[in-house]
Amino acid sequence: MFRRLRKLVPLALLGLLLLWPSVSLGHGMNLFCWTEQDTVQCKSRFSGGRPVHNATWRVLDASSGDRLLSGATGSEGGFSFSPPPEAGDKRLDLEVICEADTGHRDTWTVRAADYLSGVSGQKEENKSRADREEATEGSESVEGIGEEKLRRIVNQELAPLRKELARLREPGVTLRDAMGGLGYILGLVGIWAFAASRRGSRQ
Amino acid sequence: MHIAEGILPLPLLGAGVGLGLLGAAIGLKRTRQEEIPLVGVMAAAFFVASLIHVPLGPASIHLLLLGLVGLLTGWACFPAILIALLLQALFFQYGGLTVLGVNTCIMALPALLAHLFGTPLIRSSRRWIAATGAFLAGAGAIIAAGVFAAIVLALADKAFFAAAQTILVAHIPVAAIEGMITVAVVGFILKVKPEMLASSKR
Repeated sequence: MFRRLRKLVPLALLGLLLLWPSVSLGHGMNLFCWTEQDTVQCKSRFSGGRPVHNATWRVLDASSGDRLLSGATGSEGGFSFSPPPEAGDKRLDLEVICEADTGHRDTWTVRAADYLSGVSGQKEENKSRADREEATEGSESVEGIGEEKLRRIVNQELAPLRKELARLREPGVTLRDAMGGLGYILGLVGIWAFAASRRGSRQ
Repeated sequence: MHIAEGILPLPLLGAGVGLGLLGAAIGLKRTRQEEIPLVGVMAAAFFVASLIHVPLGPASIHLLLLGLVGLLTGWACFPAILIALLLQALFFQYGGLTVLGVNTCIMALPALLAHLFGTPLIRSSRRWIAATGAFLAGAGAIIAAGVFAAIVLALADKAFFAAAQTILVAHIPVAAIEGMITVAVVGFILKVKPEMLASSKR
């Protein structure tokens, strides 16, 4: 019986792999965010790579914990939001929390400097007079392109880079971690066996 | 199946720690000296299994081996799973330290149930009963873990049916595959070293 069943296992596994249309959960969830112009783009996915859809997300003031925005992820696990003007005025760092109904959760902090750099005119208020003069001089030298337009272009060009940097900050599993974990288990088993053998020899 | 940090309320986390430690203490006490290496090997297998993602249609799944861990280690599944989850939380940020107790209970209780109900069936002299017992232990442990996770989320005021539905639907293929793997492994062990399977008294 067992022999016959064992022969069927690979076939059944292959059938399941090919035919099962459903999706499945990973064991961890990763969220990463990056800024594009004045919008914060976020992407959530399970550690197996599948996007987390229909998860709820909310944006909090990182220091006080007050809720600023909330919503649900789309089918690709992505969502975006524009930081509220009062957050920009107070230069608040934002904590983005994404939570699936299966107990998976991850957070990401968007620093004020990150999203304000893309907001038109926002930075100007915080610049010193000297800085502003320097920037204006610079904009004149680029054949008539104004400072605002230049900033927009640079931001546009930097967006993919920001996304890639954010993605790189996702915690990944490396072979070194796995081997380290196995080493710990080996060591703990050794300690347990040693303690048990001492107890046995005493008795 | 790993519940993340920041979702469950403090009393639930405390209860998880208490139950997890109690289970681990019973497991440590009941384990004989010669069984320690096997418990270590199963802890390592559980630790590594969730790192191996198998592509499944448009998604990917990973194994848990709960039924197998239960059948081979008995009550010692508690310390084995506790240590493996602790290391997964530290190394891979799966779950977390505060939810370690709850996650241990969610995964070790089904493994223990697989041991308690599966072992008598596996010891049957009829091969088909033994094979069915192994399959039910492997597949049932995954389904039970999903139900336990949904119950814990329900206790934390999350929508029980939505969570249960999502978790169970997602884990049906995992349960089927684990059932088959358990049948294959148990069949092999029964042939070459039947005394490896945990006795029902352990």
